Amino acid sequence: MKKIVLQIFTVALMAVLVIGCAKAPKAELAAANAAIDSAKVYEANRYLAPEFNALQDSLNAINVAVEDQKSKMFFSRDYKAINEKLVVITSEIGALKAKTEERKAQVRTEVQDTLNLLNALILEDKALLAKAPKGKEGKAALEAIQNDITVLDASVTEINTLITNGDYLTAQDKTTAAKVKAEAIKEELSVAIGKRRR
Amino acid sequence: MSFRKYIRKKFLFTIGLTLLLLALIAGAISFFSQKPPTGKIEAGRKAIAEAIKEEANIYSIAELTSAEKNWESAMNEWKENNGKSPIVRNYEKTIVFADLAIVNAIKAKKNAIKRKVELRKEVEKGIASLRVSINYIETAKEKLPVNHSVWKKYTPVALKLDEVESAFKRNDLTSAKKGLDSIYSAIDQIKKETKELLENYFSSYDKWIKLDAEMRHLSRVNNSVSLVVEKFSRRCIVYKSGRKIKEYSVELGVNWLGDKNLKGDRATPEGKYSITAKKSGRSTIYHKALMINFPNAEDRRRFKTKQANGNIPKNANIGGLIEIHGGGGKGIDWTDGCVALTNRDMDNLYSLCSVGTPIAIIGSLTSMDKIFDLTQN
Repeated sequence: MKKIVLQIFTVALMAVLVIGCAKAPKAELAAANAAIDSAKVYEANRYLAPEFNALQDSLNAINVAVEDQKSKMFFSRDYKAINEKLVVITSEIGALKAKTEERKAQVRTEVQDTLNLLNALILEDKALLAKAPKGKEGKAALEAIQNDITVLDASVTEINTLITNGDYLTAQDKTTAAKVKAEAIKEELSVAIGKRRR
Repeated sequence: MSFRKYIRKKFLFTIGLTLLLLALIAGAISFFSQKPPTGKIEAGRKAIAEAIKEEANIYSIAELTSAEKNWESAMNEWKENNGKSPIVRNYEKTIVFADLAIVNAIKAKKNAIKRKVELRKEVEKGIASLRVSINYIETAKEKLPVNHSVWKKYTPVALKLDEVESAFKRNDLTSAKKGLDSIYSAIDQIKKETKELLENYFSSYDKWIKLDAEMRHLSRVNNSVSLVVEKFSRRCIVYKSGRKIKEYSVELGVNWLGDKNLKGDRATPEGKYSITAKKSGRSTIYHKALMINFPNAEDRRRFKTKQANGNIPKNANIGGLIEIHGGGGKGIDWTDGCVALTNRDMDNLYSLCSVGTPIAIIGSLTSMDKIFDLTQN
């Protein structure tokens, strides 16, 4: 009798253990969701949209798989594969965050480099403007160039605001356009000064 | 059979029967309860993922948001049901939401593809059209006095158009569209202003052509030299015996566009004149000079009319001392209203002209349409 009772107890204990082990990975899922939300804060959805979207979809698929297991009878639930996938996804989200930071830093550096070039060009333009032929001959032309330089100065202010706000892509568009204009002004002034020297 | 054995058998039987019953119950529940809507939910998820792949999150936001909300509702319904006993679970609502998610996601995908193509075309067309306008303004601007307001207005919009093109090139169609919308009206307005200004100026085109013909005719009948200064192309044409024999580049007054109104307006007058004096050596600071009879009778009459109409102040002076002189070659319009040539060209012209040589100062010998057609081509 004792032996039978012991056998039943063992079976019951094993059943409890099995049921206990087949619990939904709530905490892991919450962690993965938090990770994807923070990736969004890092603007992964803007700078690395395809990768971000793929991970978001994988997480959605995990949610579906979890509910699918929950729909089954308690003794037939199995979260092992889900747990493994969650570990992979969470680490991939972490990697995406790092990659986003890297990409942003790269774009920021590119913009900053172009902006530095632009600032240097504007300074050159201003220096050339000071050297340009004055007097009644050049007055109107110099005023027109000064107006263009003022527009470029305003662009630089806007670019700095965009960089501060983290909008590096728009800042890059603006910087590239302004740089081309600054180069054109430099060329125009150099030609005018060259002509006078001749 | 001993009592003990009997009890053990009965116990084992009871346990076995209980387990069998439990298994049967579980099997029955599993068999009769509603099947989970995994397939539908998965289809919804995949449809949403495909829509996002087509950038529905940018180009079909409303439809995608609906699909996502539907899918979320389906998931919530499913979760809620999973919390209930399998016998009472009802997935009907879940399925309805999942179906809605699929329908809206498919719609979002289709719309995104369509809108992306449409937006790309729209932006491309917009850029091309504004590029034409900007080229027109730029061409016109280069021909307008450098202190004209068009110069000031041109740079900010031209820069913005470059930014739009840059956004378009990196496939950011929404930013490009936003940028385009912000400059459409400004560019149209500048183009309109420029066009009106030029059309107004070129309204004298027939008169200019007649004056040119007259100069050519005079040179033929008198077998002598006559001059035509064409402001728009900055050139001075020399006719002799009805034929063009020379052409020189010239520089004009800063405000050369239009006729001279009064003293100090730095405009080069337009009309029919003749050379009244030849200056060289100490009598001119500009190497050599050919003085013309500005203001002539026509200039005086026009000046008085404008003064009477209040377009010119009562105490204004008509001005004078308009010459064709040397000192040019600066590459810009810089005089106070005179026509400047390089010293070398002035030497040549000076030798060809004498007191009484007729001269016409006109706007252009090429029509406005032709000037812009040529430039655009």
